[in-house]
Amino acid sequence: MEMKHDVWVYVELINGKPGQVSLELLGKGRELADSRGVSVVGLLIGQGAAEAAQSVIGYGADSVVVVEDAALQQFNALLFAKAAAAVIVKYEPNVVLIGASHDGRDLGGRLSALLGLGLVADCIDCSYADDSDSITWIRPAYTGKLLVKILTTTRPQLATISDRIFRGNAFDGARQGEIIKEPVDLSGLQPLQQVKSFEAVAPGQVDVSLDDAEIIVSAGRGVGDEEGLKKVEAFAAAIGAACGVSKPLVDNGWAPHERQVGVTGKKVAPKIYIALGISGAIQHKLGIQEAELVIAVNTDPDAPIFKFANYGIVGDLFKAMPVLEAELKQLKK
Amino acid sequence: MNIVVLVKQVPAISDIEIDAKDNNLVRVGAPTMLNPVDLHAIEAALKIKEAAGGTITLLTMGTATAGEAMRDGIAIGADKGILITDERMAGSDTLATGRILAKAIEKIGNVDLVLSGKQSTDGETGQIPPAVAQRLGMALVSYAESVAVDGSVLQATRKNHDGIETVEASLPAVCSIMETANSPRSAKVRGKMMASKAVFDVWKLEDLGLDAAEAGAAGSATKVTEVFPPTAPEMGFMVTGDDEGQSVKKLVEILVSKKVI
Repeated sequence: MEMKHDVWVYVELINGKPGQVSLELLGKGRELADSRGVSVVGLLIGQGAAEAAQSVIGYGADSVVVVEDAALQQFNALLFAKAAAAVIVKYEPNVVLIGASHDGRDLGGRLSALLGLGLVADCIDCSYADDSDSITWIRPAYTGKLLVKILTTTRPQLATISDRIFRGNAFDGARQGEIIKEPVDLSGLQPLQQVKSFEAVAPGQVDVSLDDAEIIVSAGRGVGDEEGLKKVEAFAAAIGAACGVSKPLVDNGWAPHERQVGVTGKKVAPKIYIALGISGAIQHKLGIQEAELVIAVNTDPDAPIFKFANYGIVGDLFKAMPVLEAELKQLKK
Repeated sequence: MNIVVLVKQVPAISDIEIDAKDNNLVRVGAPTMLNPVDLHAIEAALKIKEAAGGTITLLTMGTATAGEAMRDGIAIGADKGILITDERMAGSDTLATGRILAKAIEKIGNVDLVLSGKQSTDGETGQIPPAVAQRLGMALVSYAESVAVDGSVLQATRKNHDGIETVEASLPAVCSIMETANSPRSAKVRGKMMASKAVFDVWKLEDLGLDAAEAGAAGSATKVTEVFPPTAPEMGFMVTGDDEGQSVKKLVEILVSKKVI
């Protein structure tokens, strides 16, 4: 089967299942492949690869290359890079997309050094340039103050891609595709390292802090009472956000000072800041000016917050929250 | 224990402003510093040296003055520093940089452990530790939250897939360190004196047995073609609908189309 010039996606297996970022890359890979009339090939390495292959086709791959070996029981970047290199050299894909997880970055870095290939890290977008076979990669620089466009001069073009950037394809259990098993010779290679134990941290155990949260939901006087605040807290937890409050709620004794967002409390810098029932006093404004995007919901159309929010909705926060929660959950599917 | 710590001089990030006219960096005031997380790698090296003995060598690559960043490491106890600098290395990407650093570590010889920060604040790729490990045939534990050496075994913990894994690697090994791994000690007066007087070895391409085609832009496989600022999101846009539910749905559509979520 001719697979030269195809778009490959390295599908990371977590407990035998394709990881979230890999599914997102199958979505982006599909788009890249369709723009050039080539195929999307999933690359699955290690324990459970054969079992997961059909689902990877369901998620948008046209075919899957499976590499299994006794030495590939647990992820090991050294051995996985060797296995990936062997099939990449054989099939000569045009591009290999790798999710920028810790393991994915290790695999990409080793693969680059092993095959002498250029590697672009943590891309947030990519597309084929003009009519060429060159992909223009876009990645942030200087903590996102700038974006850079990068070309890779070697083939296959290799990049790690950040998670939560692209959308995966809808699963289609009826999709058919070829599953190719490739043997790999890892004799003479020592694993050099081993994962001795793994302790899962349940999502509930992770206390999302205002300092490093990607999304912060903050409650203001519009919550009405402590019960209202609890509903906002539950909403924040449901969407994986940290929960802050405005100064009046701390003054009322409904929340501790550590949770106050504002210049007299915590200055925050999330990707998305959702202000619910917050009027937007100047001290609050100064505390959120590093937020990348501010969304405000308030019943008062003249609330100052609407002047410095990127997007505003005039309305009842308690009616907005459940819809937003449902919409975000839907997107994750 | 022969420990090498890879360090880097970076622009002082808080001082970076973008020139609206040409999208170039405007560097105001003190322009450079030691990549902050590198201090944590040096602290990890100091702890290992205290337990097992040995030497800590700082290794950096950059401009002719990039060695200055190593003085912060000497001040808290690193033994010496080596600066790799050569005009023919300008524009090296991670492929070329990994090649150069691996050669330098080979030249140092008999290295048991290579430590580094998780990534630099200017490049932000985290690709150098795996590249160096691959070229030297070493184990790699990246993004370590804790690290210790027991005999010939490196023990470390790292976050991975919604959990913490404990990893054992045989030495020699490469290990990249997170900020959360430790609190770097402060420099004492004597250390600062030593640091100000420290003289670093300077290596060029020839010292590493590399030729110009293997370094700099010539030895790289990626090319930056454009630098541009991200588009600022619009301000004060009111999303309207018949009710809250409809407004929220419209808002989510906008956010999806703008790839915010």
